[in-house]
Amino acid sequence: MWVETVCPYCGCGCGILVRVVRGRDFRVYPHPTHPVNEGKLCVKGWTGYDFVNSPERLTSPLLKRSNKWIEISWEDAFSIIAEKIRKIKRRWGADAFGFFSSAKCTNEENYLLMKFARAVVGTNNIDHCARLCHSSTVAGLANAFGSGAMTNSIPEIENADCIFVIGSNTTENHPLVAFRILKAVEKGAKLIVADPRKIELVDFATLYLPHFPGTDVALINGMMKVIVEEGWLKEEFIKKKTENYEEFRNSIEKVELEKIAVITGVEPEMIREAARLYAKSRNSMIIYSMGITQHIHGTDNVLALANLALLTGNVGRPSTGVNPLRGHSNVQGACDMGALPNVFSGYQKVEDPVIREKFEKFWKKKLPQGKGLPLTCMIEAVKNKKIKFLYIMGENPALSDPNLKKTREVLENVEFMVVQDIFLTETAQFADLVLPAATFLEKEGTITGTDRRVQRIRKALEPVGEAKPDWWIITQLARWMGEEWEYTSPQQIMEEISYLTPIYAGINYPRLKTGGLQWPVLHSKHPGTPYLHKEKFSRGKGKFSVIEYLPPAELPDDNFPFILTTGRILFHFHTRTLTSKSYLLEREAPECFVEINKDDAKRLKLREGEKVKVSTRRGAIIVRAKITERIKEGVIFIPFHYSDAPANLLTGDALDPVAYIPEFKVSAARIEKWDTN
Amino acid sequence: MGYKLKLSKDQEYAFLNYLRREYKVYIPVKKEEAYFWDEAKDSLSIPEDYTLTFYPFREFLLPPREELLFWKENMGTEEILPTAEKIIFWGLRSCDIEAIKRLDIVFMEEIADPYYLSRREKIILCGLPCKEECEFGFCKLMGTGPYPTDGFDILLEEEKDCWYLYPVSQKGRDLIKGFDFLQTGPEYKGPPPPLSVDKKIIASVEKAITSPIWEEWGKRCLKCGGCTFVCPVCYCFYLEDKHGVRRRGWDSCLYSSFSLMAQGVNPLNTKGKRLQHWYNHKFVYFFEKYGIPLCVGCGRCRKVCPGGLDIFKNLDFLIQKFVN
Repeated sequence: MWVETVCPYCGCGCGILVRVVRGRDFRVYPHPTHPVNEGKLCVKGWTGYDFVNSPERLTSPLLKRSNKWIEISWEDAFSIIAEKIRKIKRRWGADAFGFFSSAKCTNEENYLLMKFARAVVGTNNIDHCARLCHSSTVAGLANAFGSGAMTNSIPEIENADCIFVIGSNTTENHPLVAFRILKAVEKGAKLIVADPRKIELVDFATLYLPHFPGTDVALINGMMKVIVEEGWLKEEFIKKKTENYEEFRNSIEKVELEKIAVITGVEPEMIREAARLYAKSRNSMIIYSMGITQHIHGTDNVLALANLALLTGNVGRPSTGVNPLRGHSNVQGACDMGALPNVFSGYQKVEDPVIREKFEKFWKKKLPQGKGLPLTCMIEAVKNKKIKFLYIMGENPALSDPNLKKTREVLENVEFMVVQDIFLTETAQFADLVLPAATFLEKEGTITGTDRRVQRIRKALEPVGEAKPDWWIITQLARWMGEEWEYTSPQQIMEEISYLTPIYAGINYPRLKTGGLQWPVLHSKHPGTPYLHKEKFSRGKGKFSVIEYLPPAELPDDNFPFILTTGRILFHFHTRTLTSKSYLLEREAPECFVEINKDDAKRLKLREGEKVKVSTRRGAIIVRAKITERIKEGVIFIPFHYSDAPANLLTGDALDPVAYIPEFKVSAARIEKWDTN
Repeated sequence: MGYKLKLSKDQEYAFLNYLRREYKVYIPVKKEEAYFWDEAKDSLSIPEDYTLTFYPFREFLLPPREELLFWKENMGTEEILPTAEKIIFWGLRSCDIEAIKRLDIVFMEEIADPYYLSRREKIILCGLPCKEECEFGFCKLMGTGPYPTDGFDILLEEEKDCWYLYPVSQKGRDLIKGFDFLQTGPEYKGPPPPLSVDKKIIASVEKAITSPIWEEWGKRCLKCGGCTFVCPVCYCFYLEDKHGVRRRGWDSCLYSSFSLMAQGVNPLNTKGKRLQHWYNHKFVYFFEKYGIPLCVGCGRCRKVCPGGLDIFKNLDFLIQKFVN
């Protein structure tokens, strides 16, 4: 049997073909003609599927009884959960519940959990890991352009004349986007890379700007200062399509390039050159990722990039735009489906009475009015005993959230916690009840890639043991709660989504062929939208914002002299739940490390591969030193994948005031020799 | 030489059913604008635009992952004996046949690998000559095509209304001797003279030993391993012992830990060195040992590299720089 589906790892959304040889033995091939990957894959796409048949998979609902797991039936599981929900709701009200949805589950499943939280339980406390990665993008770009998503498409990248990559280690984290960037460079595009680490992409760059972590606003403002000064801006575009320009201009004129150079650690001449390359090229594209978003001023960073694009008229045409690269295969879709505390599916605001009425009418339920709590605040609310019940679908906050010591204490103390996953994850260990879910190869549905590409995933295998697709689990639970949910297939759920969600209005399963459709798809004949803001911005006019550089929450000092920044590596994905099952991926990167500049290492007398202790105000971990020239002096990098040396024990939980995203990218840290004797 | 046997298209379905009495029959089938090996449904016809399968044939001889033995604590081990299906592959290209010859050297002559052997014995290879080099292929340079010379069982030619078959091995003759509806066709003039690899290639890779070009090319490697997975002759594998099962699976020398030693030293510690090692194995070491290179010029790796590395262009560069 042959099945056409989509790779489960990052947001690129690469097509794969799956051949079931016999039984559960299957092979994966890159899709030869898919518009994103064109017959290519990255190492995870080639080798990362061992998790599907891992004997460690959950195969039955599990209940924790005196710290031991006992297998129970689905009926018992649903009955226990339903009973708990009723009891806690009676006693504490609907806002005593928190729901963590999943960027690894399908659109249909995220929609159902969103509906379950709002219509069945009656709370807007639903969120997912986008809070930790691109919430600042969603807030920032929605504010500036009216739509919080990647403005352009992956295939367009190769035709850009200038590409400005900032805060994205593209070759490792979005390899099939890097493929397009390399192609563009081959065709003559100028490439500007701004990153505190000399990442692989720098080898292909026309210009490399090694700025300090957390100084992005300063760098971008510096570039804009030069553009305004030199008159490289697009006046016609600004006049016709934007607003708030005067105020912006006044603020940017006050910027002093010499000061910027000190803050960022980048020479004024290089900032000038970057401004020239970006502004003077015909089609310039900005590509960014976590290096921009994971800061207490992540929203400011995104707004600054939006300003840069508006100033030079680089929005609304092919191969231009502001392009956030989303991490998970369906983190875009989980946002689109309203697994967020403030919006229903399609970013329709819960606080808007007209919108609420539409959903109330269709769902035949009274819905909660105010915004719910974002994920990072839900953890706080559990700590303060405001949230008593956590329902976590396919997420691993016990490894992915900042300031882990606190997060884990909180998870330990929540009154009741249900985890729905394919493995007994670090988070599931804290649960009272665990439900076994199906993998991407064992169910139908749709997922939405980083360039708003809605694609179908298809079933090739039966789930293992008693495992079930997440949409089935939520549907059954709703029925146990007395709801008349009749969903028998994801296709049916998509019909409801497209009815209620204008940007998905034209999406239905028969229309989703290879490469899918890119939202907005406004009606059943609408061809989809490869790039946004063509005639005018989604919000009418593009809005300039006045953004001033502010320092990170924590700066290095005598006790903690290094800037610690965290991130992913090529061979693992997030909390390693999937990639650690794969022999080759695990062999390539079996243990945690800290990247440190060779001069810093010399000063500290560290040897390559030696174990060192890295500590911050929140905790300490022991990792191996990886001495390198590719990281700036004074900066260290640790991947956050490893549960035996979790980088998030070190990170802080200071939040961006708009998006509530934590500052994973800047912590003040100390590094010292660790003597085993 | 003898005469080709003519199979009229009217008899094709009957012939397919005849073959199926004992064998599964695999032909190149189009999926998403590329060809993959899949079971023939009701015809043996191969579309005009078929040049080469997207994925290499070797997955049928060496599965990407296979289980070798089970063990239980204090209970010893239990070997999983190879079980193989009888399969006829209808429409193999010359480069694929040459690739199997090379795998035979490694897994049958060097050491007899029982898993490989059991599968190899049970398959029948039907070769379909190419009229010319395909878009990505460079078989003439490698001396591996476009016309298959030996190492297969039946030679195929497809005409509009018939097939011409010429069994070149005993296995091939045995397979079709029981089918009564084959007529005598035109005379078989024998295979073309065997080709050999352009020695300039071998010399150029050898001479480039200290060239900085490898590191330059290495920058483009995104460490996906795709080139080695679509290579019909790359055969390196890993062994994994986990959860009571010993498995082996496809490995790639482009991965850093492939050459990592126990004490932490890695002789191939850059992407450039690993790329050079891949070329060296293919064009120098294997050639020194067996007189043929471990590359058949199929060009599959030219299509899957996200970094745009192109073995044909690179070899051409080396020849221009170091030989010509």
